[in-house]
Amino acid sequence: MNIEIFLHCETRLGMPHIRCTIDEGAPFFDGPAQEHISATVGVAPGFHELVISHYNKQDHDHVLDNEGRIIIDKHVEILGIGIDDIAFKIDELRQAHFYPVYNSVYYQQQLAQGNPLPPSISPNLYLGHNGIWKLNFHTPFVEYIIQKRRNLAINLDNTIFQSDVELLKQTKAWIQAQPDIVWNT
Amino acid sequence: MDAVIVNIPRMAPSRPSAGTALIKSLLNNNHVSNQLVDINIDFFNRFAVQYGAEQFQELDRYFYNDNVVLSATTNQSYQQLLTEWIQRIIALDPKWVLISIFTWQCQNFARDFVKQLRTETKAKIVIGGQGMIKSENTSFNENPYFAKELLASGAIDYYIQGEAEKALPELLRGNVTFPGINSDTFAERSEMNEVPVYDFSDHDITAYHSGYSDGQLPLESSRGCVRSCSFCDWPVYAGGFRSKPGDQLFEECVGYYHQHGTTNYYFNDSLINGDLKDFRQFNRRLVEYYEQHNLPDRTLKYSGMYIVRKPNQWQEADWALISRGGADTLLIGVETGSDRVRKEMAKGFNSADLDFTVQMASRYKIKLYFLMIVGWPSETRADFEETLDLLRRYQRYVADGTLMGINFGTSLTIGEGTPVYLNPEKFDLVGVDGKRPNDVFWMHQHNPELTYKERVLRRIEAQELAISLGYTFWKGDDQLTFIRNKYERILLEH
Repeated sequence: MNIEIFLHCETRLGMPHIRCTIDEGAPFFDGPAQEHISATVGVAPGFHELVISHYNKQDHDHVLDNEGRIIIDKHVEILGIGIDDIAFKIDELRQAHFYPVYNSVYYQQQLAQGNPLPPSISPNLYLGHNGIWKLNFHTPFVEYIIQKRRNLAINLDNTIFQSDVELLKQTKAWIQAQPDIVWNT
Repeated sequence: MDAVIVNIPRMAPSRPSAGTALIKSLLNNNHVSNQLVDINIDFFNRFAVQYGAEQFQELDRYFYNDNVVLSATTNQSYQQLLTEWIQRIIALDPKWVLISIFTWQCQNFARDFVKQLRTETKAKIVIGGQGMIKSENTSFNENPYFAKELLASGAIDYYIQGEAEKALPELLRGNVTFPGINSDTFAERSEMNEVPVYDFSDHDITAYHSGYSDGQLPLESSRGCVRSCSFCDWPVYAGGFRSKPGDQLFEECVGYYHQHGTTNYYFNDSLINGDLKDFRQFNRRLVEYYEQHNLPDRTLKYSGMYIVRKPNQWQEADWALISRGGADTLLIGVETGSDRVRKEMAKGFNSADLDFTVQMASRYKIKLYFLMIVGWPSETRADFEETLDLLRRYQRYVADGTLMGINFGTSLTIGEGTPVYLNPEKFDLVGVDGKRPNDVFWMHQHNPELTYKERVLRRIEAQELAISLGYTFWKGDDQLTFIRNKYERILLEH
């Protein structure tokens, strides 16, 4: 399986680090993030998780303005992911979950202010905190994505364009049961 | 009222008819007062609601099958529909009733309609359109026998064979001997710069089932075809290829946008890229228009039939241009996965050209719709397997949304006027019962395995595989119903 990941990387405070794995396997990418990551990964048919881990971000890896707003934040943002040359739609990527590892001081501050931080964020393609981002999919990927997108395809049911599977079966059985037509040629 | 123009069932209710919008424009230009009535869309939108889905489906089947007998209840509803529409037309007191017979699927309705209309009006009844013969895959014929049948029965006064631009004004002036009127001769053809801008003012554009909230309008970029596919009669009957200049086409399209606010267009012609220069210019003008008016690319979207070009004829930059211009869905006559068969069909492209086309469409987010033919006379099982392989190979383009539909037709029927009909010996064909090979009544002299039953079973097998691979399969029910009825009829007759 070929996988491609397209990222926007904020590098002004140094390179963000990421690690990419499928399930619990060995990373197919690990190190300073790149805008385009491409790899061939062997996977068995079935359910899988693409995991992108953002790590090594330090407390000082952001810059605040005078009012305490973040103006530079070391992060990666997921712009696109494709498997076997088929790109996930942005809405599909937004179904993934990000499990942040919050800075403990920040976590406690938010808790004290009555804003308990959630264990996961979705939709979210911006990996600002350290943490892991998980996207589920199945292989064979082509069949999976066709099935997943079926409800997005044109629905011809109850139109004059429809193709009903039951009618197909009936017609096939009927034709098979008929004699061949012998032409007088 | 001088004239009433009539759209009749059964036409796919996807968009207003270009033919009757053109007739309206011609009448306007000739100072003939007129109104269009659209029975077709009324049938699709009102009949099912008023009489129920079962009656609708039964009547729909009746329209395009010969051996359907309507139940008493449905027949009663049908008669009410006919009477109601005839009364509406009579109330307009027209001198002329101009009926568009768009395809052979309009014939059963047309026959019933004019028979009743005739008894209630002294207006001159005229028919025209491609449905004046009875053949599933043929457009015109030197012998428009359906029109002749109606003329002989006295149900109509005139028919026009071929294009209307010159013949209709002559008929309205009383020149009934003009070529194309009540004759086998085709009407004199027009150049594309003589074709008037359509008048859709009587159409309810959004009533159609286009899938777009602002509806879809037809366009025409050319007549005739630059190719001569062996199974197609178009080059014979539609005349030489004539292309509408790209600037003219752009002005027309943007004119409809300004007038109706419609952003989706469908080209009715047999190909939108017959003249590459005009096609490029049309797209260039669209892109310039977007830039000048601060509109996003693809503000206007268009779809239509497209012929596969060699990569050196239509390069990646051209694909990028038409994507920006608004190319939405291109319908391609792929026909088969076998290069050998495709060459015999004189399609003018091979699998490598098709691969490039599909790759480019995918890259530039242009959707494709494949038209296929199963059961070409020399098609062997191995050839057919190549078609099935093509379906498997292109499954990934279904997944990425490029391949939005596929249509396998009803297996090859040989239409009159096609090269394969006119030169059967060249294709090693023999006819049935001593007749010339036609319709499904033929065998290939060196391909005895391809019996009629085998053709039909391959057609069904292709649908089975396509559906299992996730293709959106179009018109399967229509086609299977037709195939089964036809097989049944042939069994009875042989």
